[in-house]
Amino acid sequence: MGSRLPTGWRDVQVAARAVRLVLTRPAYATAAVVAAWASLTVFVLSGNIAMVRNLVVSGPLSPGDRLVLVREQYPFLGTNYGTLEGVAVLAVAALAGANLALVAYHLREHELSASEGGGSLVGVVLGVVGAGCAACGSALLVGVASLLGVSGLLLRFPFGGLELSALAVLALVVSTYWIAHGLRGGEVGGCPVDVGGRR
Amino acid sequence: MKQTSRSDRERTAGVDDGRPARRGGREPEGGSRSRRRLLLALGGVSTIAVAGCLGNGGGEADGDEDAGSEGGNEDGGGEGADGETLESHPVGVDLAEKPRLGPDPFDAPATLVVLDDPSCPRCAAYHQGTVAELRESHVAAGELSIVYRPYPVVYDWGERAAHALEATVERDPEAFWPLLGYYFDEQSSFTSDTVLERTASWLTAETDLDAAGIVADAREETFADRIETTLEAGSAAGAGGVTPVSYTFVDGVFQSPINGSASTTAIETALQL
Repeated sequence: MGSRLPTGWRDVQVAARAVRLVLTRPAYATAAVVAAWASLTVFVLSGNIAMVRNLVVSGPLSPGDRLVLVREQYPFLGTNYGTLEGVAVLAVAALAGANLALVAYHLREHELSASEGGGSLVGVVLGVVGAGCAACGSALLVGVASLLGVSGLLLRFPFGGLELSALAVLALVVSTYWIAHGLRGGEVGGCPVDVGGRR
Repeated sequence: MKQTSRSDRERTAGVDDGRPARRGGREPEGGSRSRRRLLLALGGVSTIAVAGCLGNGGGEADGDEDAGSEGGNEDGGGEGADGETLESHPVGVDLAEKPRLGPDPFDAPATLVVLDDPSCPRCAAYHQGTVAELRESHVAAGELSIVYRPYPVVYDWGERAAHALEATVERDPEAFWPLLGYYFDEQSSFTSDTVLERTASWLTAETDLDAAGIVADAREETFADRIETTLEAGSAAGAGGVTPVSYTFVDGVFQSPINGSASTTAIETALQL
C-alpha cells in the first residue's frame, strides 16, 4: 500500500509535471479555472444557504446588491475567513480545479476507474466541510459531526476545523498523484484502495 | 488493480516525456463501463454532499421542524423571509431584556440580532471588526439597533462566560459590552477553570459592580433560564451550532440570517443601509 502513495520528491514532481502539461492546453486550463471558481463558490456559499435563498435568489435587493452579497462571501473580499482559513480554502479550490481538469483530461484521453476519481470527490466534499468550518468556527463541526457521532472529538480540534481543509488538500494531492500516475502509465496504478469487485 | 496492455502504456507514455498522450486506438475493454461507474459515483457523492452539506440550509420556509435537533440547521436559519416580524420571530423572544446598542430594536429602521459565543474565534473577529464599524456609523446615526444574545455552543468556557455576562446585564447592561470585549480580546487564554476567576478580577479592576456576586451567580447559574431561552430561540430559528449568526430586520420585518463573521458591507447591504 505504501508504494501506491506519493512518498518522495520524485512523486511530487511527476504529479506537478502532469498538472503543468495538461494545463498548458487552453481548454483544460479554462476548465481548471472554471472548476476552481465553481468549487470556491460552492465552498463559500454552502455556509450561507438561507442568506442566498432569502437575499440573493429572492428578496427586495437590487441585482447589484445581490452580487455584492455574493462577493462578500469570498475569502479576502469579505471578512468571513481569517488569513489562514482563506488561504486554505483558496488552496483547496485551486487544487480541486486542477484535479478536476486532470480528471476531465483522463476521461477524455484515457479511461479512468471510479475508485481513482473518488479521490477528487473526497477532496471536494472535505473542502465544503472545511470551508464552512473556517467561516463559522468549530461549532459547525458539531452539527456535521453529530451525524457521525463524533462531535465531542471534532469540537476539540485545536485549529477549529482548519484540519479538514488540510485533509482536503492532502486528498487532492494524493488524487492528483494517482491520476498523474495513471496518465503516465495509462493505467490505474496508484490507488491503494482495493474496491470490491475490482481486479 | 486493472491490467493494461503494452499498447495502452505506449499511447500514454508521452506524459512522462513532457507530452500529454493523445487519444488513439480503441478503448480497452471495460473502459466505458468504468467511465459510467465514475460518472455514477460522481453523481452519487455530489448528491450526498449537496444534501448533507448544503441541505443544512435548505429547510422549508416554515422551518420549525428542525427545532431541537442536535445538529440544528447549520445554515443558521431555515426560515424564509416571508414577512415575519421581530415580534413573532424566535430571536425576538425576551429581546427587551437583552443588551443592545442604539435605538429600541422594535422601533429602529434596521435591527441586527446577533447570536454569538464568547469562546468562538469568528465571533471575536465579527465583534472587533464589523460590529465596531457598524457601531461607529449606523448605530451612532440612530438608524441601527444591535442586540446581542449570548449563545454558548462552542467551548465549555464560553458557557460559563455567558452566565457571567447575563449576571452582569442584570446589574448594569452597559457593563456587558466591555466584559464581552474582554472575553474576545483575551479569548485564547481562557479555560473553564480560569474564566470566572479572571472575570472577577477584571470586574473588580474595571467596574464598580459586585464582582463576587456576579461570579457567584455565574457559578450557580442563576440566570440559566435566560440562556436556555436564547438556546431555544436559536434552535427554533435554525441557528443550530453555528456562531456567529446575525438575524437581519428592516423596519421590523425579518430579512434573513447571515452566518459567520460577515463584512460590514454585507450587513449594510442586507439591511439596506
